Amino acid sequence: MASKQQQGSSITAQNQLVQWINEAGMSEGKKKAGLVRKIIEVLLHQVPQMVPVYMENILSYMSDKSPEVKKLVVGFIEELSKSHQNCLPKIITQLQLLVIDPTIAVQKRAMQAACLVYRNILLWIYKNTPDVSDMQYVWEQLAKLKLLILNLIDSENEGIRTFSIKFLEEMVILQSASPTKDADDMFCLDRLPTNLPFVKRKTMEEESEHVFKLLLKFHNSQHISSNNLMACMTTLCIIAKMRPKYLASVVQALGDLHTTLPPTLSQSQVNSVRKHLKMQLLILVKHPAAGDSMSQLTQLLLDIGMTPQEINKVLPKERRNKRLGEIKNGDTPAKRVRIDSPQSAPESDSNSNSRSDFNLFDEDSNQPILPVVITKATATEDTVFDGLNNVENVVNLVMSTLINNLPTHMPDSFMTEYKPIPNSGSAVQKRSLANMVLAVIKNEMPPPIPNVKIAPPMFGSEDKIPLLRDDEEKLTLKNAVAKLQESTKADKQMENAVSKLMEETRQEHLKEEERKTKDKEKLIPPPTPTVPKLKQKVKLLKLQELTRPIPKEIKEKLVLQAVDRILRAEKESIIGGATQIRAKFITIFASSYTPEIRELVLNYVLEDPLNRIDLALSWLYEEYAFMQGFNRHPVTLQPKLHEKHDENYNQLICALITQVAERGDPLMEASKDVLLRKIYLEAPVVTDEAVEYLKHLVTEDKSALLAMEMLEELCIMRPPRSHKYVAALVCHVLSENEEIRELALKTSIKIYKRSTEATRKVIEKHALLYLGFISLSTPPQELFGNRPMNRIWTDDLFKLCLNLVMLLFPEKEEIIIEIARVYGCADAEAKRCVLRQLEGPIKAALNQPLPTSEDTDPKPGELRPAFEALLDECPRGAETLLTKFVHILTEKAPPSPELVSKVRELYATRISDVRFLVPVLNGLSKKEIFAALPKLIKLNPPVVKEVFNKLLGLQGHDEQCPDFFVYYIPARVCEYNFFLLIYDKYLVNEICEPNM
Amino acid sequence: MDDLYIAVVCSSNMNRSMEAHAFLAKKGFKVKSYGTGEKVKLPGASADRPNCYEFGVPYDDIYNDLLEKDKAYYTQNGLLHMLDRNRRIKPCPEKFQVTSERFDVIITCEERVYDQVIEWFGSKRSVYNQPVHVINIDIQDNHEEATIGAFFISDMVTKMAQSEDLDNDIDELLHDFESKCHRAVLNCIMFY
Repeated sequence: MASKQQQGSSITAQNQLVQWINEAGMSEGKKKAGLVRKIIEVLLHQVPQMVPVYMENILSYMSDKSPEVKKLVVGFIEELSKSHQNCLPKIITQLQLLVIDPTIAVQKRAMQAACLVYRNILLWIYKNTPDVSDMQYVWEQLAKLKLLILNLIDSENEGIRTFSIKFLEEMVILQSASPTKDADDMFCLDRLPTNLPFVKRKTMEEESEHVFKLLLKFHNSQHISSNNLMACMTTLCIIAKMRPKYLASVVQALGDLHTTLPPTLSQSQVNSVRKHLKMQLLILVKHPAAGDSMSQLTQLLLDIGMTPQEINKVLPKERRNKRLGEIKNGDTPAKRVRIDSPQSAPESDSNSNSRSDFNLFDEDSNQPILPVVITKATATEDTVFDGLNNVENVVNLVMSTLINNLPTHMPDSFMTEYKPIPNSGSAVQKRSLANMVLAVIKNEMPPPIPNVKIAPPMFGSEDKIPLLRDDEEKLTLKNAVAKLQESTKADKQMENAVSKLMEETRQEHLKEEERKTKDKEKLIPPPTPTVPKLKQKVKLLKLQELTRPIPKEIKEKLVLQAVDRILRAEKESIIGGATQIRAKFITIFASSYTPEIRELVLNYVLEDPLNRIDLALSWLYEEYAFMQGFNRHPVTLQPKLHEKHDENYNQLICALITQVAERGDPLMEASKDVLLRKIYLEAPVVTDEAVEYLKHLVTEDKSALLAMEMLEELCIMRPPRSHKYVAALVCHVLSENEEIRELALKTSIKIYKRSTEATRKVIEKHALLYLGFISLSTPPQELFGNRPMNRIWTDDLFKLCLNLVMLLFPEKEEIIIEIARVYGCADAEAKRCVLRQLEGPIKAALNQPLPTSEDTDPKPGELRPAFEALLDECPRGAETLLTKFVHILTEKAPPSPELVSKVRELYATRISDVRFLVPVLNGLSKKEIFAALPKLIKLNPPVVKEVFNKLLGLQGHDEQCPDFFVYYIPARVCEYNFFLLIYDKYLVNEICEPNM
Repeated sequence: MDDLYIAVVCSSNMNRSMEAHAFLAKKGFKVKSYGTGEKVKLPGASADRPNCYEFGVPYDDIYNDLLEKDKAYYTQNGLLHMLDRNRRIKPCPEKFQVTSERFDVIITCEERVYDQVIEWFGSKRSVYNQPVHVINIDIQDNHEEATIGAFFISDMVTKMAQSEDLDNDIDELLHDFESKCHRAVLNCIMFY
């Protein structure tokens, strides 16, 4: 019934299993992990007989992506290796794969399982199952697995290294012989069956030793992490406990660790490691197997800072007694710890075998030393130590070493490795010296003097220590021997000895340090504190130490390449939306770094100027900012390169302009005007040179009009500096090209009308300058440009010079005074030309309203202020001009009394020519007319005719002003008669004396 | 790392470990607490006469015992309150050395306790090769410090739980923790 029930439940379980397996196949993540967990649980514990059936299903989850599921598979494998060992051949390869799984968590779990699987495989083999081929297969696969995990000790992941250490521990223990035949130590080499051809004990043991050495090496490596170090310490201690043959090496390794902690540990890690070391040592000390190395262990514990009492407390009672007994019997090994030594002198001594009297340890080094005859047989560390306390002995020793052993040249190794011994002369140092001297003595006495390079004279005999390796009896030397054994691969024995010595001294020093801090009540004279800096922060990476500065040329090349890449990334930057940042970068690079970069960027801009003009402009602005001092170059940049800030800006703008204007490729040609216009109008400042270039462009046929237009735009659009630009424009009024000349004139006037006072002044200045030319005897070079010409005045040349000033006259009538002045100095030809040229403008001016009072119409008789000033001033030589001027004034209207009075005045003072009076005759009084008449009548007939016309009021416009007649005729009717008489007489005279 | 299994260990599994236990449990961590001492020791009427109990004696019993001895005194010094809290968390104080649980992280509250934990690991052979981080944070044995300590522990455990790969990150994590909390931390890795 019961079995039936069992069967029933088994079937239910199986059904359940199948259902879960199906479900798991369709689910993911946590749910799947849950299902797999249940499947494994039920399969292993409820229906174990079905394992072979469903095993494959579960193993197939190995390829699942969830680490959780994979870990469950590992657990399953682990379990199978224990309970279903016949499956081992199948699962061992799976485990291999899992050990190298990409997921670290899975890897670790697999490595953890590997330990157990290894043990279970051994159990399986112990059972000696018949199927040898299976066994061999598993064994071979196991070897592969071991290799895999062995290599993982170099993994970058700390956890994986830790697991690897643990596995290696397992390997060492499982593959070495057990000293005891304990039932609990069921895994050891001895139990391996001998009848299997593929299991070679010898090889395995060698492997085990090799792995142990590897662990030691790992343990003592410089850059081990604190966790790995502690795991390794634990591992080594476990090995030492389980396999006492390794104990000495382990103790030695721990001792070395104590003296030279990895430099990468932080302070708290150092504390943890020290603490762990202490704990492990205490565990070792308590272990029965520790007997042989007890002295080293206790010494180490003392070094760490434990008091002898504390150590004693830790030790098992029976061993404490035993040690006392040994001391009394005096048959102890050479080195041993005196556990009962008082606390006051813990470091004074620890090895006290030669004397049974404990009082020894109360004595100081000052105490007189009994003459001891040291022979090879009786020599102990203590006797040597005592000997070293004797100054005479030491002096002799030093002298003899100096005489016999000092090499002529200092060895290189000594140079590099020698460090001053920090605590020389202290009891601790003497003790270690004694230890080393003893090593020499025990081996050979007197020490031979080989022709090896020798380090410090006192330790010259160290080089013999390696020989002691063969001599296994010497327990006292175990320490030194073990050290040397480790480093047999080191190149030179000498170097070894020296470095060991360094370690020794350092160790002593560290002991001192530690004790000083821990037991402050103990007054140990502190040695000079030159602690080697072991305590550093974790992962403190000093870049400066690791890197070298790149040579300047390479740096510049790299910069250049980098900029080039940025330049080439135009499209990418647009896609990535980094256009503005890129532009900013480029401008900074171009403006702040080397000329090469400038050139690179400039060329880049010019490759496609139409699209990159904005970049060029922002670069210009950047340069402008530097030029004005808005921006500062970073201090790191060499100032030399950038001494000429303005130069950079100027050069850039000129380079841009000239390249655009002159490159001549078709693309550029088409967009030239747009580009030039943009540069000139948008650049922060148009430098003189750039203006000069524009001026030059006007003389080029192709671009003349464009340049003119641009100059005009510059003047109008950039008023603050237009006075600078306008000069470039105005000078073209002298151009021989009529079109340009006309344009220049037109534009100049246009600008004059619109712009500021400063600009006007410039234009006026130019106008006057050109006006001034006419007073010169020969035309100046300016009028011809670069053409070689006969420099003779012609009418055209005069006109050229007058062009501007004449156009300016309507805008600024005062200029007429200047004209008059120049006129005064000019010769007849020039005067004639001026008179002709001036006529039109003056007439025009008279029809214009006064510039000053535009709201009122011109009053017919009123004198314009400029004209008035001219009459007042009357420059020398300009009388004819004035006459002509007054003529023009009175041509259309009778002279105003004001004018008349001015003329009268002038006639009286400056201009004696009676013709001057003619225009205003009819404004004069009768008396005046009579006075002037005789002179008038002598003038040319046309003039006389005009005189009479004037007198009679016969003017072209008299009908327009009838009042005039009303005013004149009745009042002067008699005078008319008189005038008529004169007129008649004049006519008669004219007829009679035609030559008058 | 998923589902860290945490043990908090102090000497008597009464104050510091229980405070942290309560705190961590409240935060949803998988946590247990232990003591490593020989006996559960509680302050008595005078310094030389502590109240000693075996591990395994329920908090409830201890509570009643103290209640009977001197209700006012033990109420005033907070012991009754503490015991009351403890009995809500778990039935009785547990000794670390007898547990067969395997943790991922063991946090000790005193160096002596840390030593005892390490010693215990050293005394037995690892079977499962499952690593455990043992971490010591010194916490004085009084109410206030226990509360502060529990904060620290919770802080640290939270960070540990956030780590993807604790074995690899623990060095850095502890280093950060030390510099943040200004408390020295001891740690090592042991194996079950």
